[in-house]
Formats: sequence, C-alpha cells, structure tokens
Amino acid sequence: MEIVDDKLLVDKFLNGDENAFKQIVNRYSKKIYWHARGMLNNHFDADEVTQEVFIVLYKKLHTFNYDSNLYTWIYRITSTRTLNFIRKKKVKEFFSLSEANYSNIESETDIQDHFEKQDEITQIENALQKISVKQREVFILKNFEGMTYQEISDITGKSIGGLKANYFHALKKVTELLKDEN
Amino acid sequence: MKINEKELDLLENEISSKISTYNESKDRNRDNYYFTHLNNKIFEKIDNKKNKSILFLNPKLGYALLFLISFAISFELINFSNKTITPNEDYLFSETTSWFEEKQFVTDVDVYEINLDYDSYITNELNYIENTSIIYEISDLPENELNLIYENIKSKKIL
Repeated sequence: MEIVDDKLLVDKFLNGDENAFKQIVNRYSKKIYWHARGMLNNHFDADEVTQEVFIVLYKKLHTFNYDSNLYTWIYRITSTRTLNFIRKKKVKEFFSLSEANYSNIESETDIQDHFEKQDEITQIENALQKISVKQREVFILKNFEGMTYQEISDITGKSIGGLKANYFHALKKVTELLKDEN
Repeated sequence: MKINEKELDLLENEISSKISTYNESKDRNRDNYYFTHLNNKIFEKIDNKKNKSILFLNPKLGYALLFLISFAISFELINFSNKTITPNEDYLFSETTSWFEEKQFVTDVDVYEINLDYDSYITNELNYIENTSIIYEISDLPENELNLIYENIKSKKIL
C-alpha cells in the first residue's frame, strides 16, 4: 500500500504538486536521520546528511524510473551521502579540523539526551563505531531498519552472500564489544 | 564463507534486548518537535535554492565561464595563425626596422622563393640581353661557359 502511495506522491510532485514532496519528506526524514545517525554517531552530522539527502531527492526525483521502490532509492542516496560524509570527515580530521568542537553543543541539543536507557544506547552507538563502515551499514539496515538481505542488496549494490558475511562479522564484533562494556 | 546459522541466532538473541531498546528510542514522541523543525529546515533550503537568482552562479560554473571569456579575449588579441618571427639575424634589418617592414620583406621572400625558376629566369635574361643587345655573343657561348655564368649569378644571390 505504501509503495503505491509513494508512486502517487512522486507522480503528483512531477506534475507540479509541491505538497507531495513535503509528504515524502515527512514520511522519510525520521528514517533517514536515524540511519545517518547510526552510521555517523553524531546528531549534527546526521541532521546535515538528512537535509542533503532531501535536497538531492528534490533535484533528482524526475530521474526516478520506478524500477525500484522509492524508499530503496532514498536509502541508496542516503547510503552514498553518508559514506561520502565519512570520507570527508576523515580528511578533515587528518588536517586537524578536530571534531572536538561538537562535544560542547552536543550535550545541549542532541535529541538523545535524557533517555531512560541512555547508557545502553550509547553503548550500541559506540560499538558500531568500532566496526568497519560496510559492516556497520548492513548491521543498521538489518537490525534497526528491519530490512531483508535482498532489500539491503538493492540499496548497497552488494551481493547477498557478501552482505551475510559482513553482517555475521558485524554481529559477532558488536556482541563482543557490548559484553566487554558490561 | 559458510555462516553458522545457529551461532548467528545465538548472537542475535544475545543483543536483541539492546537492539529493541535502541529501536524504541527512535519512536519517542518528544522528538516530533525536532523532526518537524528538521523538515521545515529542508523545505526552507529547497525554497531558497528555487528562489536563488540565476545571477548566483554555481562557483564551478562561474570559474568555467571566466576561463572561457578570458580565453576568447586572449584569442582575439593574439592571432595564433601568425608565423613566429625569430630574432633578426639578417643584416638587412636594423634595430630600427619596423616590424611591419620586416614582416613584409619576409612574406615577399617567401612568395618569391616558392616561384623560383632559374631556367625561366636565365631564358628571360638571355632574351632581354639579346633584345637589348648588351652582349651579342652570349647566345653563342658554349654551354659550360653559360653554366659558369649562371652559377656566378646564383652564388651572388642576384636571383
């Protein structure tokens, strides 16, 4: 049902209905934010990536050819943007543009503040940062987004066998890391 | 690589509670305010981009245009089809010879050399001499002597 709605929204938007695009944003912004947050472990970076994704979507939606579901397409953009963001961040860090600046503002405005189970969430987020980007992505899409290997394969372009191996390693490492934390 | 499905299930069970906690944290109502704000920021950015004047060029496009304009101007100022004039080694030219005169001379020489035809020249010269009766005997000269004269004329760069 949702897929049909998505296609209708795309059609409406392509016929000039700007509100249709707003509905798409309202529908997916939360998912995109949490995916980016899991990948980047930072509220502000996730916020920035989410905005970028929808700006790209607005520009490129006319090229959407209905071969895949809209959400698969949006996640594909998100995945690419997130990986680019990580690369850029590494380069910035290499040139000493430290991310330490975030630490002060993070505690003031991060939406994750005052969680009932803040420690557990922080533990998972920290553990995810200790595994490779590829493993992190498949772990997040599988566990947090509840996607199948086929859907993840459509998004990442990787083979299902490769994804299974990545997921297994990710799961093993995250479990060990969470055990160590406790 | 063969994945042990049982081990996979065990690992998933081990962290399932933490995964559930994380997933539940994503659906808090108190975050709705933030997401509404985020969505508005997105709409605002898109509106700004739409309303942006055409004069606000993309920097990359701007640099590309600047390069093209400067290239076109320099192309107009410098005629690349002109031959390069090497430093003047010919004593015929002094330092005061104007560039135009020098160019004219070089062009003339080029044209002349292309059409250079010694045989026709000698024939014309002989005809002229005969007609003007300067040296009557020249037409009676043997071929080797005529060649000698021709070589002398040539070596002195009269042609």
